[in-house]
Amino acid sequence: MTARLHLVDQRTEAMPAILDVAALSKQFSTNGINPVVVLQDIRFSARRGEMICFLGRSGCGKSTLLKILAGFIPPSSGSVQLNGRPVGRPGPDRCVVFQEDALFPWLTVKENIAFGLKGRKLSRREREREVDRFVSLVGLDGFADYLPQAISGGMKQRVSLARVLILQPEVLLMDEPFAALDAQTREEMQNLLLDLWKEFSHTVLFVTHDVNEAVLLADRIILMEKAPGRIREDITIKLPRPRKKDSAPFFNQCRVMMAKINQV
Amino acid sequence: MNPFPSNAGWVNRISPWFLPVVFFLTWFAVSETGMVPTYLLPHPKDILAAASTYIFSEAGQGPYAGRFFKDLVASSLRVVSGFGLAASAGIPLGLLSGRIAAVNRMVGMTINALRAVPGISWLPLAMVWFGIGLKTTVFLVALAAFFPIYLNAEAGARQVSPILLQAGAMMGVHRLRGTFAILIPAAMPQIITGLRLGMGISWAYLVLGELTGVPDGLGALIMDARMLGRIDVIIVGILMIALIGRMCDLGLNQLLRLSFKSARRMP
Ligand SMILES: Nc1ncnc2c1ncn2[C@@H]1O[C@H](COP(=O)(O)OP(=O)(O)OP(=O)(O)O)[C@@H](O)[C@H]1O
Ligand SMILES: [Mg+2]
Repeated sequence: MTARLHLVDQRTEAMPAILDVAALSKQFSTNGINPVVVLQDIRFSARRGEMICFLGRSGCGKSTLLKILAGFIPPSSGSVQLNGRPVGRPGPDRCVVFQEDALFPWLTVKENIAFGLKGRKLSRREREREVDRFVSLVGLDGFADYLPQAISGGMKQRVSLARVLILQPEVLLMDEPFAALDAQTREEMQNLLLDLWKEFSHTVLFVTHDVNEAVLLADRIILMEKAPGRIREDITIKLPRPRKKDSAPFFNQCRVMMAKINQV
Repeated sequence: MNPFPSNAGWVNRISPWFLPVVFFLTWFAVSETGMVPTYLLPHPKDILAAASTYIFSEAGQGPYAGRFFKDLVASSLRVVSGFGLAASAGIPLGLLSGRIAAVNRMVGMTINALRAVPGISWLPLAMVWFGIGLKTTVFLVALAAFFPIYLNAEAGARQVSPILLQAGAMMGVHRLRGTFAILIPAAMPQIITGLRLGMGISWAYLVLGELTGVPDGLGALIMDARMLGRIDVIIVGILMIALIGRMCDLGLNQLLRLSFKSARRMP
């Protein structure tokens, strides 16, 4: 693990590890007799402010890994530590942006974004100001009072981003958040994510099976293989930012990644 | 949102009254021809007269005169108490049983066995236990209304998408706060269905309870009128229950919409 981490992006080089995953495995036993090993011996660490993409075929356990990190399901063995402490139940220190629509349909855009702030010690005024700021940040000015059913898929994902960013999570877990969007909207959302990441510099773990997306976003790409789900390679992407999708280096990097995936 | 898109507001406004009007006109026409003897079906104008005596006349000026208000209060009190008991037991228990497998295993079988017993079979037992009057009626109403309220709350809680609860948990909203902030709003459509069914059944069992010989209430009125052969008063009683039942349904809906965002914004 450490050997691979010698190559790190300049941006995060000086940063300490924030998230440590060690010897993590997960098996499901659906019938109680033959447990299926979905994740085996997953180990990596993430530095503060790093953007890591998990790339792998369908069914290799990417979502399962994210659910374990979020605390939705327990691992079968191994440990997950955030800032040196084992993680417990789900909490706002590590927030998830789901692929599917997970907004509360009875709350407006603004109320959805304010949801997690309810329990915090903030005056009403402060809370409203904060919510307004995040509505603007994700480009939803004018839609604050809409219900989720009245906005598009891309806008829903903007709300999903805003409602977790407002909680200032240490780690942002994103499970193919843009996979269901059309190409143009997806590109908009990728740029929005990069802008917000620049502003907040939270750590991002981003699951995708789109090579282009991974190369555009990642400081590191963790390539996973299937059955059992394991880490195959941990690749540092050294392309300078902002990255241009139509540039030759970007294109080459994608080709290299594609070749690696096809070996899996 | 509206499954019946409309082009004319007034058509929608009057269409619910179409069936009652046709029904009433037919009744009127049949009565005018004299085909049906009035001791089976009185003329609508006699019903109207009976209703007006029942509602507006001063009490004591004749049989049934001015009893309406007292009957209404008595019956409403019984319905509201019984329904309130049913809702305050049925909703929490339903939500728990829909979310927690252990609770479901513990109460599910018993409740479903009791549900198989027709409500009317409880009547003799209730009369022995509670005597005649308020308590028996409230007991019957509560028992009958409990099942639809419980079953719908349970189904609603069970069907809440786990992803909503996960989303809440990751934003720091757990357990009790999650129940009020996520579980109940997400299950609201089913909870409302259960409450409305429960309210409807409450009126049915109210009449059953009041048939046992209580002095006041709309059910008592009907029973009384039957003994005295006053079919016009029976029909007045039926119409009153239909009217008040419908108003309770609307009122319940309105109250829920006032109290809960999730009820107001139901798809
Ligand atoms: N609760 C569960 N019980 C049993 N098996 C499960 C469960 N959850 C996931 N699995 C299995 O684990 C494997 C990995 O699932 P997972 O959803 O993590 O894959 P993924 O990499 O996210 O795939 P995709 O790219 O399609 O989203 C699958 O084979 C799946 O059948
Ligand atoms: Mg997945």
